[in-house]
Amino acid sequence: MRWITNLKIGARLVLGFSIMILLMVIISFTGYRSTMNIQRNLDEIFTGRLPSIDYLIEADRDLQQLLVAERSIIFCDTESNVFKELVQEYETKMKQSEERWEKYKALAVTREEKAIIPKYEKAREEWKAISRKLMDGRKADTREGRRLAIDLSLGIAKKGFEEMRGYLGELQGINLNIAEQAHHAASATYRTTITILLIIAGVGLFMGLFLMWTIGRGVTRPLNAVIQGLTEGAEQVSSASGQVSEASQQVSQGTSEQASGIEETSSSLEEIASMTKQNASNAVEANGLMSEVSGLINKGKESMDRLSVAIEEIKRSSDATSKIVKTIDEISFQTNLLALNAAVEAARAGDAGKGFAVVAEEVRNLAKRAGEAARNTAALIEGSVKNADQGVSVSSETANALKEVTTSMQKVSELISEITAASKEQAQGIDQVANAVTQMNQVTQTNAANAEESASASEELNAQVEQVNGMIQELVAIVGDSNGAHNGDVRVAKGARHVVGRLHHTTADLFHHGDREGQAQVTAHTLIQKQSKPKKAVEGKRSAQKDPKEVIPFHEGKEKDEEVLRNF
Amino acid sequence: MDTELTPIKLEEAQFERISQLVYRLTGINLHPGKQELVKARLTKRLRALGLKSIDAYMEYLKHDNPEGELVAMIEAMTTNETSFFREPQHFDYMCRQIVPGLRNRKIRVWSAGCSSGEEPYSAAILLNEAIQDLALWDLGILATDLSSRMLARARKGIYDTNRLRNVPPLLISKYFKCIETSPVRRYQVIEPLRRHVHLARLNLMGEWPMRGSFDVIFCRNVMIYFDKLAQEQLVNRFWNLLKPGGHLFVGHSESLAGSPHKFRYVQPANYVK
Repeated sequence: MRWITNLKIGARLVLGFSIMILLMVIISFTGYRSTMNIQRNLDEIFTGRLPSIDYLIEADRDLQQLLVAERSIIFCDTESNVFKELVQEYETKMKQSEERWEKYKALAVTREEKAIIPKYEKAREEWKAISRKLMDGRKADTREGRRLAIDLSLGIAKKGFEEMRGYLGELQGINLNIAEQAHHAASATYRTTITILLIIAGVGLFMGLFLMWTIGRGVTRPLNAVIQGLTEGAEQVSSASGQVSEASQQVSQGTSEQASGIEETSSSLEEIASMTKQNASNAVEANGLMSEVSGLINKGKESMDRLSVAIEEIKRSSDATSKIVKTIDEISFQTNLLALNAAVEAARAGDAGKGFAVVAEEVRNLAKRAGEAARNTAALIEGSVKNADQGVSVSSETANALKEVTTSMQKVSELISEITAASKEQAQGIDQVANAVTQMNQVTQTNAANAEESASASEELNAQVEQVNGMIQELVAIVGDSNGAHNGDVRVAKGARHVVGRLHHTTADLFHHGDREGQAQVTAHTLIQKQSKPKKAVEGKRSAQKDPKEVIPFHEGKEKDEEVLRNF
Repeated sequence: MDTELTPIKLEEAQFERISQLVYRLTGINLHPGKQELVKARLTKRLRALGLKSIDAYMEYLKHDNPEGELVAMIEAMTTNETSFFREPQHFDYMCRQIVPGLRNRKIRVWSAGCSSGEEPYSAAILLNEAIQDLALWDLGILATDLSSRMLARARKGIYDTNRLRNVPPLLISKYFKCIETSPVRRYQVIEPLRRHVHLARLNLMGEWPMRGSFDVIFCRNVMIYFDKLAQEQLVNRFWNLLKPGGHLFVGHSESLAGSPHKFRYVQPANYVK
């Protein structure tokens, strides 16, 4: 029977129904043919034999009545009304029997009948002639006539009559026989038909049962397989959509965190960029200042050179001055000697020289003072010469230092240039990073949109799974509860959905009741308390709303803000 | 010089305390992994205050100037990334889909987390462009932010060319006036436009004095700094302040998917009440 299972469901159904239809056609045809057969036999009996028998019996009865009339006429007064009536009766019956015979003749078909008919007719004619003679004799109302009538009636007339009736009886027998045959034929037909029908019905029942089993099984088995497959598929889709939903929630959460990270990064970048710009401009300014300083240092160097020259000049002047001082010292010494001489001369001159001696003494004092001043001046000049020497060495040291400063400044200038270049590069780098951050932001936004879309897609999927499950149940109803396992599968699918649903809730719970829960419930008031007494536990003091005003002091213009906000 | 170059150390416990403090005050979620960010941002405060260690800063925060420094720290911890016409799909949607549907010539927009004002001014500019008979309209844009420093910048409405790089020259000439040319060109938003934008400081985690009935709420790239719980609370509070049919625009990196909310999804990052 493998070929049946290889057939498609449609072909199997067509085959099954075709076989059943064929059997039905055979049954119908057999029934029809048998019924027709029986009908024909019945026709034969009712339209042929029964009327024939009827006509024959009636004709027979007519002849009997005619005989009664004939016999009564014999013994009846010819003048009486009864006689006339009996003659009338005789005629009528004669006529009736002939008519009925003719009707029978029309119905007679078999050869046997056709053989008997002329015999009967011949016997009838013979009898009739005798009977007529009898009647005529009686009508004459003579003794002879009466005697003849009696003789005839009990003699040859009776013999002819009996012969004639014998033929009628034979014909009746033939007809009865034919009817019986027809009945037998009908009965035979009935029996064969019943047998055939029972056989076909048996075969049909067997075929039907077989086809029912094979086709039914052939249809339900793949359908059950489909149902099982669908159920499993629905279950898998359901769990997959649960996973998608969960994943999209995670993506959404992640995206949000990423977005805050990106914003923070880009705001930091902005700050860094402005710092870099500031650095660059500071470097440029520093460079400008450096070149100014370098000019100043050059000026300082020139001044130093001039200072050295001036100090040398001073030294030269000091030498000249010390020569002059020496001359003055010598002059004061000479003047002292001269004053001494003048004092000696004045003493010699006595009183006249007294005034002169006073002058000489004053001159001597002056010379002494001049000598002292010259010596002091010489010491001073010596000191200033020393100082000038020191000045020269200091100024040369300064010049050297300035030279070093110039070198360092060159280096600083170079470094500043490097800083400027680096700042420029840094700015470019920051631009690149900023671009990358912008791109990341776009990706994040796309991710968020995708997460949202996939969340709604998974919702849609869930709805479709629901629909598919409905269809599966319909299918199960169509296929029938023959195999309880499918219902079990549906139950499994339902269970899986339930689990997925619970998973959703759990993940949602995870998101909603993170470790931060409760922290948000802590009032700002408690916060202050906690701030001032950090060791005191926060637990227990919770309220739905926090009032940050208690903690965050509002800036000036708080009332103005309130007013603005109240206007909305 | 030396003190500034000495690297500042942020201990795990210190990070934990700072991040919890910031979370409680603002809802900003500085989860593990943001240590470097917190360190970099605290370093600025340390430099400004002349302090040498996080411990010293914590002491200062606790005892010396808790009020002023708390604000300063929160300001330092907030990220104020914004630009003109950022994520333009929302402005486009507002001008093409929402404005034509408004029958009573009144529109209320809220820019929640307006930073230095680019978002509310972008909205103002594009609404000015979209509405022909603006004189007959009642146009109100509320712009709020946690940072007073940012609000002060928004109030001034002065931006350099770099900040205006996304603004077409035509719109610059129409809605800005050049107030400085050196070292960079700087522009100020013109007075008639600034009149539409009402700035006020508001902590999104705090109380809201507004009565509501907004047509549009922009809260873009704000909730990314919050955790799931704070996001949910915020989204529900936005729902209460929106007109029926009003729109909530969140950042394109954000999504309400996966958290319970009553909004209907329209487009990515666009939700309707």
